[in-house]
Amino acid sequence: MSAATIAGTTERQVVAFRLGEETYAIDISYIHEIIRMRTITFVPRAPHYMRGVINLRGRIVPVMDLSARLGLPSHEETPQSRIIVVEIGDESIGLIVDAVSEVLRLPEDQIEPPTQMTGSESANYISGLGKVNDRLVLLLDVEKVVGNASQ
Amino acid sequence: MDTSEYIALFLEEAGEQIDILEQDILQLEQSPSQEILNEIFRAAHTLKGSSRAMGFTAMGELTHAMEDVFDALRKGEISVSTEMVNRLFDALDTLKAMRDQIAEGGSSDITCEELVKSLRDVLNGSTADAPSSSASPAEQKHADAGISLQEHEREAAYAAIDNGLNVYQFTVRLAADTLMKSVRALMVLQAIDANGGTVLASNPDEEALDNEQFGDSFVLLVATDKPVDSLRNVLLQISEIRGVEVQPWQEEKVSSAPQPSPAAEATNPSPEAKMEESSSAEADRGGSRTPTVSQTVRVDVQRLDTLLNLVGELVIDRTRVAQLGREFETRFQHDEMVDSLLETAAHIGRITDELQEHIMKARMLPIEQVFNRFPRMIRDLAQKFGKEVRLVMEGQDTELDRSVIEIISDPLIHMLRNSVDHGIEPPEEREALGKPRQGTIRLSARHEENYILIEIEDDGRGMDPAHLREVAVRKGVLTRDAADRLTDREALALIFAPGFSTAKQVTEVSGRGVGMDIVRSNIQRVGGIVDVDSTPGKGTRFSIRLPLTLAIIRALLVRVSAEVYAIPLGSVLETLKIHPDSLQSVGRQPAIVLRGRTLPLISLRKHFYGESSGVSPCQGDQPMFVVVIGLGERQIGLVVDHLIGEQEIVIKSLSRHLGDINGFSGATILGDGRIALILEVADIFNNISARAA
Repeated sequence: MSAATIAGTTERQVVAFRLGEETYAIDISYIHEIIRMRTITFVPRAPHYMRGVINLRGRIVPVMDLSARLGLPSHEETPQSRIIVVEIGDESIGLIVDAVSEVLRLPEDQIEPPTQMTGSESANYISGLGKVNDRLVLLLDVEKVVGNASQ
Repeated sequence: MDTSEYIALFLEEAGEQIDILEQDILQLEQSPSQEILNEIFRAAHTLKGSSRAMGFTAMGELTHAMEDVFDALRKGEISVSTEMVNRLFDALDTLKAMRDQIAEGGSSDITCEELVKSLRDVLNGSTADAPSSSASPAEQKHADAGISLQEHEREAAYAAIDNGLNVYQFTVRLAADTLMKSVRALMVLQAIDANGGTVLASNPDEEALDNEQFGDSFVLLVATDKPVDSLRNVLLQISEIRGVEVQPWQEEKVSSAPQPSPAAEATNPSPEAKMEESSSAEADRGGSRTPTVSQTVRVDVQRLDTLLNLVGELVIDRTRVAQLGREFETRFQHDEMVDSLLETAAHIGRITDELQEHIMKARMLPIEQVFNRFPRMIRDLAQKFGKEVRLVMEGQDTELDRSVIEIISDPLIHMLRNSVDHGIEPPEEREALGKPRQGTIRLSARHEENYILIEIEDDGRGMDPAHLREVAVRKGVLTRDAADRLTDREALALIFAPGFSTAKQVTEVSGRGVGMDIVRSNIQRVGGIVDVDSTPGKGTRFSIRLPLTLAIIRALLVRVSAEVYAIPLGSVLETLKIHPDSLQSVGRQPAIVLRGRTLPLISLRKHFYGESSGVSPCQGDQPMFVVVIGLGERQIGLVVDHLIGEQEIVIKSLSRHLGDINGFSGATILGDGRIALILEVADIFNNISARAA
């Protein structure tokens, strides 16, 4: 993740979002923009979790169904659904989430390494667990989520 | 001196000179001429000067040694031999390596003593064999060599011409046994002076004439307004002068350094030319005296790429504006503002078209850039394999987008290597077959409609379809059954199949089975098509069709389900509207008969969305639309829901984050902002074959 992994009182800024009942978060340094759902052009024969491509001001950006990627049950699209456009390397990719909740500051010392989570495929993509107001936030390892797709 | 800012310039110039040397040495070997020798000498001379000035001593050393060889050749002291050309090429390769090293790290540690020595040997070895002469080489070399002028001498010559005088080159021959040559020379000079002539320059120079450092003849450059014949007669009356040859002075012929054209300088420049001259005065580095200004500028490739991308965006927006205009028209009918919007949109459209065309042209390079290296390569390969090969090249000035040029080079090299290695038979075998000993490889390029056709044709042993079928079965590429079903042309195309290499033994150059399949995939990657035709015993011909540019193509837009797809027009043979009645079925594959030929049909709906519409790709009684696409000799029909029309599209690459997407070469943005994926026709054919196998 970002450079802010120095021990002590350092904080990590993350964008928290909902997938089903759970709250996930992505380090803010990856995030390019957050947009509303729009027409997605289906790409035949792409991996099942790739929803297709969108036209982002003349650029063609692939869009991933994050729930499907993490092996979570898919949810109906709602007016709250958003596409988080993250930038990795010099390419962008959109991640569909159920809702974007807020920008959080997580003190570094309140982030725990991921514990053994049962069964869920998403465990592979979690880099840490944070607690905010007794709520559990799962920190997502974006590079892993996206990186494996291109292999 | 801080040379860093000059290095880029030096490297570029060095590259150019090395290219000239390479071509000229090759031509030297085939047909030496004085013209070539002069050019070659000049190139070596320039390179020597600039590398020394930049402090690259080794490079200067080596070019110097080459220059000496060219100089000796030019003066007829030695003659061209294969061994000599080999050594010159070795030296040239080393120069290239040095240049590359400098380009990478600013300096070069390649040494060249060996090479310099080998070049010196060429020189010494042959001077010893030169026709016996009492004169030493240093003396001998001045005879008949013309005059190399100093700058002030040349200016004096031009000034004389400008003043209405005639300038002649006098070659004065003394009797072989002349005792006091310097006295005769002095008498000649005085006689010219006394009879209305002015000696502008001499070869050797006056000091050498005084010291008797010349052979049987010397050359003078004389300006005079008197009839030249009377002057000649005066000279002939001096004792022991055996002959005087007079010819009008021509700078081009006798000089060794690049010269401005005397004609251009002597005639009155037109007003435009004058303006160019003055405006170029500051811009022209080195203060060259050339009055004609080059009408080209060097532009960074990246800048051109950026421009083309911007034009690409403009093309998209143009389509969008036109579409909006039409929508307004339907909504507001004939409103004045709508009319003027439509008018403006049409104008923007035309301008954009023109802009696009010109920028595309600016990115074009003659295919010469690639072809240039082949004569040398063929020569080396032929020597290596003991073949005799003549390379004939046509259409070197055919222009291609630079991105295509970059990609086409390697495949061509590979195919040419194959032709020399496997195609052309050894000279003895050819003779036994009643063919000329020397095989011919013809490499040609030309425009054809909206693509470039490159052909490589040899008159070698050709390929036997039956043999290829055997190999394919033996290597497990095909079953016996499948192999037997192939037509001859399809069997020939087997050489492009992965893992298929017919080389009886692996050779250093023709590779190890990573051959033609890579060639084909490289060509297909840029939207090209490669095809092979061969007659056993007669020869083989490869045809490569390449798009003119990679960034913008014409495509047929079709609708499948809810999406629009683009099929590159280069692969579209025709479109059909057929009735379900005419459907047939070959195996489980639907097909139609088109002009007596079975055309397999692929439903894109099924292919893309996996919808199980059974064998029949159509719904009910509705007629269906078929796009016939071709790849080489193979054809299939793609069943689509609807044909939308032809359009120019800007190719955008698909993100690698999408994963390994098979079947699409990219995507484009349509006028309404929607995305259309661009079909990769080759992938569709490959998928079909994979399924059939």
